Amino acid sequence: MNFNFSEPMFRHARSDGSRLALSVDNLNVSYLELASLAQRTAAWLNRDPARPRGFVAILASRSVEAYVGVLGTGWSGDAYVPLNPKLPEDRLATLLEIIQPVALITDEGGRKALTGRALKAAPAMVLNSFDDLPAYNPRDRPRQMEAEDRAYMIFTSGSTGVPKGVVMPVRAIHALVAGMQEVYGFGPHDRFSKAYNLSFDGSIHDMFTCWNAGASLHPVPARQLMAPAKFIQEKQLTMWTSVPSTAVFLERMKMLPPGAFPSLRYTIFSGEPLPVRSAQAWQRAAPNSVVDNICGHTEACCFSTLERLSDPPNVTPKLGLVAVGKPLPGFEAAVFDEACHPLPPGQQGELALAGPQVAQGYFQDPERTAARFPSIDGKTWYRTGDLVVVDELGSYHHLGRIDNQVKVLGHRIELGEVESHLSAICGTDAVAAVAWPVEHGSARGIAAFHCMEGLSAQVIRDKMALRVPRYMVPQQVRRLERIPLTEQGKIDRASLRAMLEPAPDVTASELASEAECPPVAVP
Amino acid sequence: MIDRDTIREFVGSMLRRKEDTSPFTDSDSLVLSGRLDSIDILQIVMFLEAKGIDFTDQEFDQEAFDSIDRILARIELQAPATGVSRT
Repeated sequence: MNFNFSEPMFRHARSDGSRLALSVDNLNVSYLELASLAQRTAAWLNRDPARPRGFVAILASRSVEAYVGVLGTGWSGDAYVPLNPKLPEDRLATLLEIIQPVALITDEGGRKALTGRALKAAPAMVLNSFDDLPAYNPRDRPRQMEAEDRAYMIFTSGSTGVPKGVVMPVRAIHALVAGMQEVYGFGPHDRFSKAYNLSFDGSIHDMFTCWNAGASLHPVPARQLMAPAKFIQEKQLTMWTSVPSTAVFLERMKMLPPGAFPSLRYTIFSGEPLPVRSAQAWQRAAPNSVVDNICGHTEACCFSTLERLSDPPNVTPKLGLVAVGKPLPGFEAAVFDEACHPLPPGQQGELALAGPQVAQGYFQDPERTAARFPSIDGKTWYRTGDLVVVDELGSYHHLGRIDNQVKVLGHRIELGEVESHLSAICGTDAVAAVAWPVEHGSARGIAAFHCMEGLSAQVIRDKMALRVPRYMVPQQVRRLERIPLTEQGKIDRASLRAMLEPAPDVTASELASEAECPPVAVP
Repeated sequence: MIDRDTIREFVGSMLRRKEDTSPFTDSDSLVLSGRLDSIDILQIVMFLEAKGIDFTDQEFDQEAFDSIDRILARIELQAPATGVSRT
C-alpha cells in the first residue's frame, strides 16, 4: 500500500490517461500529461538522490504550475507547503525562514512575490519554468510513502504573532479521501470546482478527492470567485465546494434563481457558519444536488463533520444556522470539558476530534502540540477550541469559540496575532483587536484599538498591510485613552465591541443587516 | 439621474466609513485590490437600484464593479435610454 497522495492520479494516468484531469488558464490537461509533468518535477527535485526528504514551498495559485508543484512534490516523497503569492514580502520571508524548504516552485504570481527579503530567504533550488524540467521517464512511479510520512504543512494564524505550521501526514489525506468517497461515490464523469486557495486546507478535498475518483478539477478564476454562477453553468460542474458567503452573495445579487445549476449533484459549504436561508436558496437553485454543511479544521485534515440539508432543516436555535452534523466515516468526535472529560448530549463544551485525519502537530512547537493534541487512554485527540453542543439526534451544533480565534471571510485569525503586530507598530502593549461586525458568526473584518498619540489610522493600516495578509488588516482603527480590562486583567473585548455599535451611518447598517450576509472578497 | 460625481461620492463615503482614506482615481481598482468587499458591492447595487437602475444580472463579475469607470459603463449598459449622464 503506497500512501503517496500522487498515487491515485498516477493509477488513472496508467489506466485511462487521456481523461481530463485539470482545466485551468484555458488549458486542458489529461491525467497522462499531469502525471508526466509531476514525474518530471519529481526528477528535478531529486537531482541529488541522497537528499533527505524535506519541504517544497509552492508559491503559486490557480495555475498549472501550482497543481503540478503539489503532485510533483508528492511523487518525489517530499511534503508541500503552499504559500499565497499575495502575501506581503516580510511575511513571506518569515515563513520561508521557518520552513527552510529544499526547493521552491513558482508561477507568474509567485515570481512577482519573490523580492527583497523574501528573495533572500528563498532556497537555491527554484523552479520557474517547465522548460527547466528533465525529460519524462515513463518507467518512474510515485515514491513509496508510509502512513506517517509528511504530506504537507499549512500555516494558520498563531496567537503570539508567528504563524503556526500544521504538519499533516499522508495517512490523513488517505483517510479523508476514503471517507469522502464512501459518502459521495464520485466517479470519472464528475467535474469538481476549486474555489479555495491552495493555502487554505479546503483545497485538500478539491484536489485529492477529485483525482482519486479520476474526475476533472476546474479552478475558478480569481475574477469570478465572488460570483461564480456563470462558471458553474459553463463548466457544467457536478461538485461545488466553497465558503457559504458565495451562496449568500449570489442570492442577494439575484443570481441564484431556481434551477440555475442543473448540473450540480454535490454541494459542500465549509469554512464559515451556514445560514439556513442561503442553504435553502442554493438547494432551489441546484435541485439535483445534495447540499452539505461540513465543519472542518486545518489540524484535522480539511473536513470533520457533515450535516446534509434536510426538509425541514436541522437548525441551530437562535442562530439561524444549519447544524454541523456528525463525524465523517473513520472519525470520532466528542464534547470535552476543561479537563478533557467527555460531556453528554445537551451540555456545551469543546469539540474534540480523533482518528486518522488528525495532524501530527505544530511545526517545531512541542509545547503547543502537547496542549492541543492530548493523548487520552492511548488515543490522540485534537482540541478544536470550538464551542459545541450535541442534540438529541446526535448532531453537533457550533455555538462559537472558547478562545480568541475569529473567522474573517472564512480565514482563521488569532486576535493575539493581530495584537502582536499592532504592538510592534505602536511600540506598546496597550493595543487590542476584535472581530467586527459579526453576522451569523462570521466577521466582516477586524477593528483595532490603541492608545498612541500622533499615529493615524491610515499609517497603522498601511504598516499592517506590509506585515499580514489583507484580511488581517484592521478595517477600523480607534484611539482610546486606555484599553479596557476585565477583573482578571484581560482585554475586555465585549466593552470594545460595544464601543463599535451602532454603525456610524444608519443607512449603511440598515443595508448591511438587510443583506444579512458575511462578506466575500478576492482572497 | 446618476452621474459620475454621485458614484464617486457614494464610493468615497463607503471607503471613509472603513477608514480607508487613500485617494482613488476613476480607473483605480476598488474590488480586485480588496478595498471593497461583497457587502460594499451589494450596497452599491442597492443604491443604484434605488435610483432606478435594474440589476437583475447574470453577467456580473468582480471586474464589472472594479472602478468608477467600470461602474458607470455598467450603468450605461443596463439603461442606455434613461438619460444617464456621461459627465
